[in-house]
Amino acid sequence: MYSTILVVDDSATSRMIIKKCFQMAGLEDSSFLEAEDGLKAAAMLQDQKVDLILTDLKMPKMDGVTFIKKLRVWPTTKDTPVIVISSMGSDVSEVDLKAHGVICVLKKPLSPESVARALEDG
Amino acid sequence: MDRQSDERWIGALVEAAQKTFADMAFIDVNPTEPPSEPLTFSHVISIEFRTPGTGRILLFLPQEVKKMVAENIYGRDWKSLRSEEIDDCLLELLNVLAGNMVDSLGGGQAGPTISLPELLFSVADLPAESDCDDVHFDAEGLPFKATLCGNQ
Repeated sequence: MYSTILVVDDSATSRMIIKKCFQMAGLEDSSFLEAEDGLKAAAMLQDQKVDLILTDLKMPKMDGVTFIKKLRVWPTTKDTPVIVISSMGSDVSEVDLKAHGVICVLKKPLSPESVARALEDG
Repeated sequence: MDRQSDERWIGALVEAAQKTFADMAFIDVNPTEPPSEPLTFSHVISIEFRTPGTGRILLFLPQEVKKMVAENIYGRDWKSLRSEEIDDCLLELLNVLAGNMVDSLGGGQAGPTISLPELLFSVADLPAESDCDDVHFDAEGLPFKATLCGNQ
């Protein structure tokens, strides 16, 4: 379904939990790339194609919303599906995120069940 | 802060702590009376929120509670965990806890805003805040404390 997935979150713990939940939700054969902020993720995407991007919103250097807006103007990532995974500590609404092509917003802490539901709906 | 809103916010903090510790670290926590012996902490974890009220949550975790949280989250023995991994999972725990608390008070609407969590070696590093409430918890037999400060 998604062969390469990029996980963008400033917390290594959170990246580990996200990866485990997606693997347990059926994506055990996907390969996962990791970046700790939008800036590093953007740099990785210059020479790496991914099929799905999972991003937090609240991150240092480049936050998730800025990162998503940048994705939408780059030819290689403008159509890449994005799922936001957040503790809801942002002043950006789900409606605004969906306007930028976010397919769904998942609230932390994730569970394999919530991920499976999102993948089914998405 | 009036008594009614005080109780509402403390209730939200307790519920958020219970949910977050259970979901992330598989630990049952419950509010309890302050322990007879003072708790000892090596550092404090802090996070600020701006809406629906402004304030700060401080989490005071003794070593044994940190150990239980980190081992459960990582599924590894304490001795195999690097200090960066331990600090990171405690910061993420408070980040999610604050999100749960603020989100429940905001009724799920967009708007709740929290800062990045930070690790402090002393509460003396923080600006003085007059309106603070301590909530003591029992984590499967181990005590810890959360403090809610601000103009909720």
